[in-house]
Amino acid sequence: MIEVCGLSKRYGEVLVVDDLTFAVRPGEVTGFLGPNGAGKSTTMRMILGLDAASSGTATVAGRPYAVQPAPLKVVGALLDPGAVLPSRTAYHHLSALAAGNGIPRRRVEEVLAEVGLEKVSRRRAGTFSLGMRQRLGIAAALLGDPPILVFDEPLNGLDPEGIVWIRSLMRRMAAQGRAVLMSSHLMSEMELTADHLIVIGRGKLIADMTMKDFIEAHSEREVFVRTPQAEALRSMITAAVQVRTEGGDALVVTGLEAAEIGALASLGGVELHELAPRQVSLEKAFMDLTRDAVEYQSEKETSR
Amino acid sequence: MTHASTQLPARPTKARRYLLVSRLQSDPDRARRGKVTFWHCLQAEWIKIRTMRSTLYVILGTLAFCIALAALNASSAGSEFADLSPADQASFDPLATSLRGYLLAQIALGLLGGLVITSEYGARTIVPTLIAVPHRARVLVSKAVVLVGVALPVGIAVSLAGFLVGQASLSGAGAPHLALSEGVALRGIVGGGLYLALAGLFGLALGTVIRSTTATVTTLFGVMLIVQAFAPALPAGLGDWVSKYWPPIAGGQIITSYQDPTLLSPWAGVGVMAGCVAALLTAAFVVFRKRDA
Repeated sequence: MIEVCGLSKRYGEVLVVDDLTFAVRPGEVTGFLGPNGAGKSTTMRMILGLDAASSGTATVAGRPYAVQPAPLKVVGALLDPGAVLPSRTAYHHLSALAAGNGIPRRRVEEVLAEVGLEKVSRRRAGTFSLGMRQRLGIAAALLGDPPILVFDEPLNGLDPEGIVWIRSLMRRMAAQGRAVLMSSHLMSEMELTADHLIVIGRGKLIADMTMKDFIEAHSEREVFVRTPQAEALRSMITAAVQVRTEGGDALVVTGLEAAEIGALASLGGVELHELAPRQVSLEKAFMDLTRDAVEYQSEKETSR
Repeated sequence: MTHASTQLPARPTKARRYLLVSRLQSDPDRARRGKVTFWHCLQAEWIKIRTMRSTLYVILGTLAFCIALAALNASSAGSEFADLSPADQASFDPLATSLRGYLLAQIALGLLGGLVITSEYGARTIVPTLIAVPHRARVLVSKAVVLVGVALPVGIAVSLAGFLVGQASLSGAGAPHLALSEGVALRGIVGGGLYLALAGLFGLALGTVIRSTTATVTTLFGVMLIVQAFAPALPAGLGDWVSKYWPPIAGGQIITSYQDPTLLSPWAGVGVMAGCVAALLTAAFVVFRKRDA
């Protein structure tokens, strides 16, 4: 479990992370979302003791990262997939990390096999593609078989096969009871992978809820209607409800349930060919939410 | 589109998830059993310095240069000895003639010391390093220990090689030369090795503060060679002080067998260098602990 409490980071005048409080619970994949520069990486760096917090605390498994007795056996992290000395082999890169935590060499071979790099483990890491480096970074995170995992943009540079692989890895880790925190810009992937969402914007917490609640709370449901009498149906719907035309015979209604539209059509004798509720995707929900946050922020700044 | 959880492998039921979670959490000894110590960190840093390519290049390059310079220097000094004035003959220094290679060896080992940490900043491996060992003092001390573990034997080896080649050459030319059994020879070789290990630590301290390999090398050249070269051009008082106390110049006295009365004695000189390195390392330590990685 990762617990972040009142965490802030200030660089001179700029507050990059502003009073964040959230928890990453075991048995779940927690997606960490926010526009570029929202403070996701800085927050992860503070959780891992790389950057000092200006105020507030971050603990993993009940204590600050810096005083973990065996850090890699508690938290596995991937922050920067490029972080390998080009002249060092994958095997030696992992061996050094393992040695620092008293993890046996056998485990190095195991994680190399787990991420599919066993055949290139004696090659210099400088010859690796970004996808291979990403896998090497994940191997490093898995070294200590930790109950907590932190991944910053683990999907960057991966091919579709790699993306599917990461998704199933994250799901498997969570299913084994581990706490997984993962940031990504790929909303569609996040939607498939995460159970819980933490959304930040300009360093502030915007949302902390389950994926399902997030989409429901932050997006309006639409109903797609196809009818040869689009104009007739449109005139029957009150002005308070938002209706837009999609092609000649299709309407998208926001603010009415499918059943209500069906009833209206039936009353007015309008013929329906299609009537389908549509859930807005996470991507749209996220963009709506962060756009609001950005607007709110700019407003506040101008009124200062 | 709808929430796609149905496409995923079945998630564990609440009860099963609870069991799994409690299995991972109910074992408080899990972390304690594998408590990480300084020894582990030392092993990690040893693997790193061993698998850094530059380590081998620095060792071989230093060895080759020290031997070559000892041979050249001794053969020219040996052949000129007979033509020197009596005063110059009296101050002839067979030890320094064969160990002059330290001038470049100190830069090379300083660079190795710098690389031990600047390579981590350059490749950004400082992040995985500090995630694996968040105890920063432990990381830096381990780096210093393995660096000395490499630089001290290498320093003694290159001094010994230079000494043997240089003295053989001097003896061949009929100039004064030293035997390995003489106390002054042993002091020059072991002390020279010690000085080169200090140069390595000097580089480590600089690299920790500066974080860039290029800037570290430039600084090493400036501190270790340029100042020495320009000391005679400085105003008299300052020039004398620099020639006597500037740490790399003072430390360099360890390879001399002729004691210039205006300069520090060999061991006092190394003491000045050691004090300077200790002060710099302390500063590096403070910076490394406080600064965001």
